[in-house]
Amino acid sequence: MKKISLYIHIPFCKKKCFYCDFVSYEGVEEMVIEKYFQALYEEIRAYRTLLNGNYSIETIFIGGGTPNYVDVEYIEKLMQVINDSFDVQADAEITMEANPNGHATEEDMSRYKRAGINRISLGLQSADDKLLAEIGRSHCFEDFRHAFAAARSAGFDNINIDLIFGFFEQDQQAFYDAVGYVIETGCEHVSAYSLKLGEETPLYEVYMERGFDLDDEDWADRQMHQYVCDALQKNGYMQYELSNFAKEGYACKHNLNYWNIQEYIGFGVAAHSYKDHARFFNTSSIEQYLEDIKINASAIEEIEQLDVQKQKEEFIIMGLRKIKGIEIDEYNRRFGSDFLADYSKEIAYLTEAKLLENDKKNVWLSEEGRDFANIVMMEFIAEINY
Amino acid sequence: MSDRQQRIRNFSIIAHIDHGKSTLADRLIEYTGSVDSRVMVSQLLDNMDLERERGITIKLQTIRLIYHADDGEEYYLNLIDTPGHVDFTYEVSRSLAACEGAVLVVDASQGIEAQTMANVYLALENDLEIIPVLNKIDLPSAEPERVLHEIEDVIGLDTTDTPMISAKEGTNIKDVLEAVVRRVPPPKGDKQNPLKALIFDSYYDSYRGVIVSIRVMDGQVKKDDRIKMMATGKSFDVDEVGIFLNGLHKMESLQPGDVGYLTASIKNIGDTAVGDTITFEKRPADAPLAGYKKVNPMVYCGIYPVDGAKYEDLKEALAKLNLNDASLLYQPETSAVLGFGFRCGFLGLLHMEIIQQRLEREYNLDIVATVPSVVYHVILTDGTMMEVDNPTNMPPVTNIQSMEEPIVQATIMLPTEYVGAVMELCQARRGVYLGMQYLEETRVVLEYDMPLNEIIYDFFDALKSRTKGYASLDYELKRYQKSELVKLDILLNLEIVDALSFIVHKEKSYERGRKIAEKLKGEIPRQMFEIPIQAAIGGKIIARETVKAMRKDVLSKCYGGDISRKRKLLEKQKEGKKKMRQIGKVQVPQEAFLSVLKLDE
Repeated sequence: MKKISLYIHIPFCKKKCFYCDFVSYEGVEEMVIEKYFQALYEEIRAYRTLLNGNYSIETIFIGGGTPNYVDVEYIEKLMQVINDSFDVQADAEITMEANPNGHATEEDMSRYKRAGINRISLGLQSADDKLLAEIGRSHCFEDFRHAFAAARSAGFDNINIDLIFGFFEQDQQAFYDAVGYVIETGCEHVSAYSLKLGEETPLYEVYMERGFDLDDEDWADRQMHQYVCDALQKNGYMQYELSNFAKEGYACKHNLNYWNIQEYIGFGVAAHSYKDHARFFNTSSIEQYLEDIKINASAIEEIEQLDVQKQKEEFIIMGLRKIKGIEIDEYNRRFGSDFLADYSKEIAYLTEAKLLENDKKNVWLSEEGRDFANIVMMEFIAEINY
Repeated sequence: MSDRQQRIRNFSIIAHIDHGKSTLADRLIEYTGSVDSRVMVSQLLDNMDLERERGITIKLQTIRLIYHADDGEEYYLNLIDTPGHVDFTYEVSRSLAACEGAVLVVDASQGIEAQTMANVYLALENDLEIIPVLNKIDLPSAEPERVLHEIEDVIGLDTTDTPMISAKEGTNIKDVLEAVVRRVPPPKGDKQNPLKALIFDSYYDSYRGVIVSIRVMDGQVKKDDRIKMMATGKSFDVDEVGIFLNGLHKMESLQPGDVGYLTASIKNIGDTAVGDTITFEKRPADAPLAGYKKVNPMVYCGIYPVDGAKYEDLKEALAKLNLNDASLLYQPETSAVLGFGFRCGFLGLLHMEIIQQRLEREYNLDIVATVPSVVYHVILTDGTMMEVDNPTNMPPVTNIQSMEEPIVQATIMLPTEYVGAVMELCQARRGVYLGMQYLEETRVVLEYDMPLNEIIYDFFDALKSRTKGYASLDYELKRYQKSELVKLDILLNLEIVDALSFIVHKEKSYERGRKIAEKLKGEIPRQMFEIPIQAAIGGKIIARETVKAMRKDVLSKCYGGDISRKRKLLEKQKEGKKKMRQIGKVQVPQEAFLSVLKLDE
């Protein structure tokens, strides 16, 4: 039986953060949320025949938006629909993202746990209340403490905490303090992201008005990045991807599936899927989604069938995100080809430039190469001839 | 003089750009029914796309119009078109030398412009009868009275009976034809004398070889005559003679006063130099016609294919352009930065621009052009003189005794309100003020002696922006003058970029070095290492800027929804990189080379 992952998108938030450019909507009426979940359940059930008998579900990720913003029942029902529809492995990793000020009491957390969720990803982002307010987060640090404690009490033994750094004029010491608090919690997993501000976000506008030079912030950004890497590794968190750290055995299986180019099906607005070498995604409009599901039980907006060249490229660029890099054997097995021969020229000069390293089994970014991952990855992309 | 000769009129139309020369020519052709209306493309004489687009004539065209005049006679009016730009002054003067008269077209609202004056002087030098014509009288902004006054005051022409026309609308075209018949004298010349024919143009035809445009001054020429070019000394057997009448029209012979063509299996256009005199090999004329001179390029630049693999294509394209344009010089050169390309010589800036555009448009080539240079005279310590048109060839300072640069006399016509701004500009460009003349209350002519190397950078653009486009400029080479010149090098990451070196006056060198460094800083994207940009004279650094090192180029978050977008972004990034030039280990975009040519903001 083949393994596959599921992603479920919950596109609702109490309030959108100022730096967020994900597909999510604030202030949506309860009636629409209700309709959305009905549609979501229908979309999932419609996949039953396609997956059953051939696939078992290895991981599930409920992301958003803010999945714990909507009433807990929706999530309970969601898990029930999934379990009724598919063959979910007993040891499946099932993650839900949660905001500290959403449904996050011990009682809420217990219900999520009972519904089958076994991993919580908490968006702390920063421990600096002033910064949190500035970037439009609706929680404060105290909210986070409560939420984390509630999750633990409810029995979650696999918790991730998200951090973001690289805001302009960010108080670096406050960030280092946050890293300290995170370590103190004893959480199993940390994601630490360097801010990448989309031009469509409100925060981008604010920063532009205040005359910040986006490029000039790199220096502070790399200092914070270095700090977080060092501090986490010193405390038993292994870096296994450019932005992800985990204690032994707690690396996120769901995300690793993305980086290893495994198959997954996304449900909900704007959700992406990858199956049979095709990438496809749903409409990002809720209205459109509701209508499409009603008519077709499917809301796919676009499909891209990847040719072998593109499959190779994706395997490489996603593989290089992992600290241990690309497994050469796996490449050779998938593509019936020899990685070291296919890219001998690129490997040679990227190694010479000290951006890439390999031991004939794996090829990975050097420490310096991690800061310039795009430059390295670009070398493995074929030139397009128009 | 034969009766036929009495009924020939040879004339040109002269005008400032945009004053309607080509439109008038079209109307004259149309009126006399010389070209089948079905084949008549608007502005027939300007037959290159680029010419039509820019409203200028580059290549000469000639046509015979047959006109039944009011006096009942039939006249042969040979209309010789002239190139309308300053760069082609010599070609204009030679085509005017083939005429007895000139129709001076003046825009009834714009009045006299710098090139109007320059062309009038050329016509006067050639003793032509000048017939002023006011064009665009249909425009609401037309002020015929004022402009007629201007023509009388500034040029000193009698404006009684001046045809008032609208070439666009076709108004009063006949008045122009009648004025040509009545006022332009018939050509002189004697059929019995030895042949003397002026070459005023030539072009290459792949089937017949060079087709030479001539004006017969004396004698006659026909098929099988053995002719000789008096300046180049080359001899040929005539294959065919004829006139320009709705294409080439074969004739038995060409006689005194005739304007027509001859072919003689001439393979090389350089053998038919404009201004040369054709005579018989056996029975030559005692002296050639006056006025022949060899034209030398005034401006040089390097032209390189963006894609090194296109070198042969570029070579072929230049060779083809050269077949019809002997004034374009080119020879192979190598640049450490740009690879294999050509050093090209041009008559002037417009000529250079036109060639670059034709390479890009007609030959579909992506090219990089280096900073243009004029021809400097370098007097070496051993007393010998060398000409330097490429900064790379400048000898070491220790071998140089002195240097000279070309000085032009610049004539700028402009509305009085901009005089201050333009004088400031000329002063800043090392201009020496010669004088100012009022054309009328609101318009003046400024005369300056200016180093040509100050004009070739971005003087036109600067002049235009300071006068909202109302100034017109003409210039001609006056002399060479001793000058304190230095070679300025630009270093990227401590390596000299030969394509960016240029020769500049010592006093301007600091400012220009600083500006270029600043400009390049803005054009070169940040890379994984810090990139010093330096301007240096000899070994001395006179300006420095730094492109800060990029600290990171990595996407922090990349999950299921980001994969294909990420791949597409990388494809785009790769495409951008492909368009860069690698200099040492620095990636430099093509735009950086162009930007240093436009320093005036």
